Amino acid sequence: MKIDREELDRLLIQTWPDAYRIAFGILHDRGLAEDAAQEACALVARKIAALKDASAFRAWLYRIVVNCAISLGRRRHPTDALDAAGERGITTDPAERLDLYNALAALPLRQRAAVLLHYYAGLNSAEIADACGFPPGSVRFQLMLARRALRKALATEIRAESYAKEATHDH
Amino acid sequence: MITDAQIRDGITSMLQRFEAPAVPLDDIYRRMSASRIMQPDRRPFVIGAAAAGALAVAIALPVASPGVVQTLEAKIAAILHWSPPTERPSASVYQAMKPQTVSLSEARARVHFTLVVPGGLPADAIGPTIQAAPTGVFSRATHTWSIGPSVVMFTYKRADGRTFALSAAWASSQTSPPSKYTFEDRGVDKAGNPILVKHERFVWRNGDQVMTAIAGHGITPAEIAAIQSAMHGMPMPTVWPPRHGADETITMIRVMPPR
Repeated sequence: MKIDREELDRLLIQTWPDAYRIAFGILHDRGLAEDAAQEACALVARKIAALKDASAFRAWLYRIVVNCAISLGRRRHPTDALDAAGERGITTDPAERLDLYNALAALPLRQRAAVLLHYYAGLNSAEIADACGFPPGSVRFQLMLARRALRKALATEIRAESYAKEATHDH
Repeated sequence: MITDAQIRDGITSMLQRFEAPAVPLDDIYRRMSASRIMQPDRRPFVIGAAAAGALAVAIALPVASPGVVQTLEAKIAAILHWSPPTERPSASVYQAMKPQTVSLSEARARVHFTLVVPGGLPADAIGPTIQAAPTGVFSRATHTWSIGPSVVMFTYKRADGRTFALSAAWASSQTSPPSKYTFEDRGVDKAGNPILVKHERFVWRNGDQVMTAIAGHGITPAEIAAIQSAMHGMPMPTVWPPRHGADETITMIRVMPPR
């Protein structure tokens, strides 16, 4: 893909929010997510000329973001103090109060990445295996485990929403 | 039964609620040209001159004849009003600088000053994780690195995921005034040019302990002032540029995410 600086600026402006969100979905840490998203965008900017098929851009971008996030996430080791923060339920972002968010956060890094690539980026298990360097069988197994946890969380969330609606209706 | 489509919708809608910060185009292009490998566990901080987010300078230092190095050093000095060490620490010194996570009592045993624990922290600060690390000391006189006294780093996590650290060191009676800035060493770019990020630092004294905080790394100057006040710390005036004598030493701390 031949691209000039102005087009590259526009492309980065468009892709940045997605890159950040996916990185945050994996890392659950704003600082690290920004670092991973910046690194991913820098890689995109550097390698965009070598991308032959423009229609493959989104999947290509997601792979880069996920790999940067996994790379950063592997170096981070949660501490007891961080676990304590979770127990205290300290949150600032409304999205962080969702059961789904907590369920995603509780998944191991590989499962989180597989879930985001599958459900958000729309990649199949072979593509995820290719993108992350995991064996395809392992991706399917990780997705199955993740689905179980997410279904449970989503069911709780939907129940809570319907109770809230009923309560509003009663009033 | 929750379907795959519902999971997809749930994930998509959740991700779209995360507010992305403004696009840091300058930082992205800087990284693009630097082509650096992300190694957050290899980010030594040069103190005595190193702290967050102000100025990144790509400078060319080694891989040149001494004469050329001299010229480049002069250019760097003109930009930074300070020149970084001309040599990088040897592998053995660098290895010895590796921080270790310790308990408070272990940290106290590793230093020969009275360790005062930070107080007056932001309400959402969680921690600390305590690490002790020998420093690396570069002598401008001999152009060599040696192992210096240990520092203790208190790292806190904030509710929004950011972290900040306060470092405690021994206040030697012979210490010259601390420098106003510290430089984060982000390795080298493809061409071998070191990348340094300049940060403002705040320094105060409690007895024979000197505590340093770096603004911008998950903490604001006002929050640093509150910590200093709660600790009854005596503010230490900082200087810039630092005195550039032949006997000048530069202290480096190796920073690694707490385990």
